Amino acid sequence: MIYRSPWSNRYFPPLEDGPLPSEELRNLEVEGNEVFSIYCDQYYEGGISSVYMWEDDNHGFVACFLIKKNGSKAGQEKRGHLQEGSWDAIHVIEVSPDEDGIVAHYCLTSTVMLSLTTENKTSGNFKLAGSIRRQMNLDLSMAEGHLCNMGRMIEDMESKLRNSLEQVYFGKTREMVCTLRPPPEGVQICLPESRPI
Amino acid sequence: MADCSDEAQAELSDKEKKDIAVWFLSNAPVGEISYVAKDIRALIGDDKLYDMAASEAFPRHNKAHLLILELPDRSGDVIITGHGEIGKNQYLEPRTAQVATVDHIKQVCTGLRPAMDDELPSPYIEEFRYALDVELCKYVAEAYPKGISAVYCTRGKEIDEPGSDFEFVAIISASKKSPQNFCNGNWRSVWTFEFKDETQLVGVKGKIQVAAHYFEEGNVQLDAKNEFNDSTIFQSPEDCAVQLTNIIRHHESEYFQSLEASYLHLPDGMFKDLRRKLPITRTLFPWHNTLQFSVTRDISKELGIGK
Repeated sequence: MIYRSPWSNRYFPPLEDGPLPSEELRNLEVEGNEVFSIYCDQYYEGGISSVYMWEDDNHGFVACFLIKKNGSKAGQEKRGHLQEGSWDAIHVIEVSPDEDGIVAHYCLTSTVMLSLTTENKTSGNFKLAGSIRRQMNLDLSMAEGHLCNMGRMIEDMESKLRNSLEQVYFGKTREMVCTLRPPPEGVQICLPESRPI
Repeated sequence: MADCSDEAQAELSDKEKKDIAVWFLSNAPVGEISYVAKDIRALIGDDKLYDMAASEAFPRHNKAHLLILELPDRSGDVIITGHGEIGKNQYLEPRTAQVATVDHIKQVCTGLRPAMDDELPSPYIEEFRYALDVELCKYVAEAYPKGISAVYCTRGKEIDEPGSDFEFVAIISASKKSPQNFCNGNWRSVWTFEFKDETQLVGVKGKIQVAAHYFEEGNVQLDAKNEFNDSTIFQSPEDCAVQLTNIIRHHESEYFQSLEASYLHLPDGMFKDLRRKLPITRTLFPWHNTLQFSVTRDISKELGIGK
């Protein structure tokens, strides 16, 4: 396998005729990597991010924002809650600017793959794992630049996916446990409100 | 990433295909093996190979999930477990002293016969087994709306008077299958009781597994398990039954509470370790002002702080 580094723009192992983004797009890619790594720091308090961009056939381009966060005890960014934990996010945005160059259409497809395990004596081994994928389409003015538009969409989407996983999905598996073995009468169980996106 | 050489892309052998199929089938979530099987059959494209995989994986899956099957005469249920396995596809139902013949792949009982004397415990052992079964039934009825239980004598069933060791396994299996609502789940408990004559103690070992799968526009699974150790005094059959059931009730309700606690800690503790709800600054990320970051970043680089 041969990879292009989003940081150096070089192929590993070296590949002479490997496709590269245009200079203009490469500049956006560089800025994207820089800004997104700060975004990643602020939301993930660590984690690794990569941003790749390439021209598509319809005079637009595609941008791919990747985040990998390892929250395991053995990982470096430990806080000690999780025995094992990982959050992988994949955001692919197809950008098609309209002809007059004022507005662009953004089609974002986001996937989050999540796995978390805790282990202690009373609760034993507790593992939740899952994945979720959603799409979002927006027409936005290009006045503030593509990166600003794409960034806001990703930030919004990540919050929604996080909410869905936490409230709907984990809420549903908890509901199942309570169906199998109902809590003792008189004990109030407060299930998180379902807020599907 | 694997090397994309010719060998790596070579066609898998039949054995490798079968092993992969067995893995998928064996690991199917509760109540979903028939859906997985349908896809596996199509993917493998070889009915003979599929049948081999299915005949290996279904019994394994059914036993691991403590599948509950209705008896053909509708007189009750039989739990599919290695502890009640008598012969090929035959499972003891200890409460009614019957043996059910099971079709693992169709997941149905196809036959029923009375158990033979040598398949059942002696009257002395049966007294303990019966008493425990009665107590356990009461508990399961109050704790698990869809729960089924059974008590098996797994060692020393021929003993006919005090003075020797014997062993029981109590199983509780409760499942909820609701594919139309995109969720399935089950609760499985396996409790082993070692009646030790010399020490006049009963050793208790428990293993609980809880699984849940929710898959409406996404895919999330819970897989939780824990093990327990305890002991009590070897007493009369009735007193043992009450004591042992109390031990089960105690550990299972504590475990249920710990599951609830795990869910409660999810948002603040566990989830935050992966991704925060808001950035460290507690305000949305200032995308409009990203130029500032580049500057800040360069400075921090120069000062050797941050990354």
